[in-house]
Amino acid sequence: MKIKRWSLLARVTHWLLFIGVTVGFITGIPIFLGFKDPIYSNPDLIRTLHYYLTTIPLSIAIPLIILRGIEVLYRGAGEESWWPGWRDIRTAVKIALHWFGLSKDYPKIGFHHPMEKLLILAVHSGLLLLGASGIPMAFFDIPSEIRNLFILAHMIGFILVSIPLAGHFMLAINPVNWETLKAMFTDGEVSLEWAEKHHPEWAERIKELRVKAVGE
Amino acid sequence: MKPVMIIDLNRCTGCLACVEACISENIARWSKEGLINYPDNVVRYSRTRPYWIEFGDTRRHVFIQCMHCVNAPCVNICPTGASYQDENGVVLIDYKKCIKCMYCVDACPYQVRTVYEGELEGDMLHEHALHIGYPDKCTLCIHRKVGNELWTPACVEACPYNARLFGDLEDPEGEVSQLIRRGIAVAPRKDLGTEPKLFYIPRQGGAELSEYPVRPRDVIIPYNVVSELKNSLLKPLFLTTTGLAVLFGFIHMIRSRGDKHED
Repeated sequence: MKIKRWSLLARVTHWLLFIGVTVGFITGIPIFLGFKDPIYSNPDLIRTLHYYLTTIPLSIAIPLIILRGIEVLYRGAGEESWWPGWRDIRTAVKIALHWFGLSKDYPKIGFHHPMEKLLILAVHSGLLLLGASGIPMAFFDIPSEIRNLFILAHMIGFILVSIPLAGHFMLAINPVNWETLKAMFTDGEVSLEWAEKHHPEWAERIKELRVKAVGE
Repeated sequence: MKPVMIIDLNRCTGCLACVEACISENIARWSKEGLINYPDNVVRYSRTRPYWIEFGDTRRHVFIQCMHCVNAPCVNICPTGASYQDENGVVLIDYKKCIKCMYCVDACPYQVRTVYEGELEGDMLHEHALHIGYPDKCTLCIHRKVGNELWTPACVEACPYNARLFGDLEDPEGEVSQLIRRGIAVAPRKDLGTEPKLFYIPRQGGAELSEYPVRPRDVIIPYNVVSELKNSLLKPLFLTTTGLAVLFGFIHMIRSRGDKHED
């Protein structure tokens, strides 16, 4: 049985973020780490890509993120909310303890993995910093007295985005997650078996809702 | 050898011979038809250019150009090492490494780096000449250097009043080093901590040097602090944490084979 995991809105937003962040990362990393990009050794091309192919998808994605937030709120924030709470932090600690072999208990995972929520928060905060500092630097003549603050904010934003995304990328290429990755590419649906395995709390709630619907 | 330049403002009449020499040497290009091409507003792109300071009813000039700082913010902020100091402490640009981030242009407290974005036909006269679209600055005419001998920059050669002196700071007998040691030639805006290697012999007690045209340094964080933060904190943090994320990701991948709990 298939169940919906990613709405169309979530998928479109994700791929827009993917394009913007990937291009931004590839073209921005030479500036941060200090090397001339071996693939695109033309600085003008790098700059154009960095200014436009990063900014445009992300500028489209931001209103979609807001829309998605409204959608989640409308449907009831509950378990689909990506805002991490104390429960998520506690769960994340339990998972970490289990991962390092310090605890046998593995907590039940809801719609979002608690680490995923922390990741989303870091990435969104980082993107906000990157946009707020990068767009003025790229497209406006900001006073030189405060330009270094924008550069610093851009660097911090870059770190906030790139560290969790390195983890996110590693999880995405992990074969156990290919089903949800495929869902992100296609119709957004995963099997109930996959959900039971990876997000048991969410799967249970789906099953309860279905039983209730059938009963009614 | 530590090449330094002194501009004697008592001798300088503002004739702009130095500007013309600099433009001919570093900025102009020779077209195929044998014509010399200049950028529009060419004095703006000269590597030494006049700056007038108002003193009540009078206007006095100083010439601004790269100070070849010992503690150069442009070198420290450059992410690729394109802005560098050669073995003699001359601040230069390696255009092969430059990615045009323009951090150096903003970081220079003396506002002496320019960027010419227009069209300019013809061939560059030497490898350190103006590169269109790249940051540009005084190189002390490093292309004139032969072996390890002290050379003469074009502006020094052209000055009809000998207002520009060029010498080796490490030569104790040299006129230049003596003028500096005796405090006759002074560096402007020492408070910036950049240790400039361009000195001035000021007029009337050096009032104009206190007004030297540096960008208002009311910046909240100096550029050298930004560079330091990046190099000693943010860069290692990025490399370590992304490295750990990838490492844990691999371990997770190996461990999650057949593990029912993994995500």
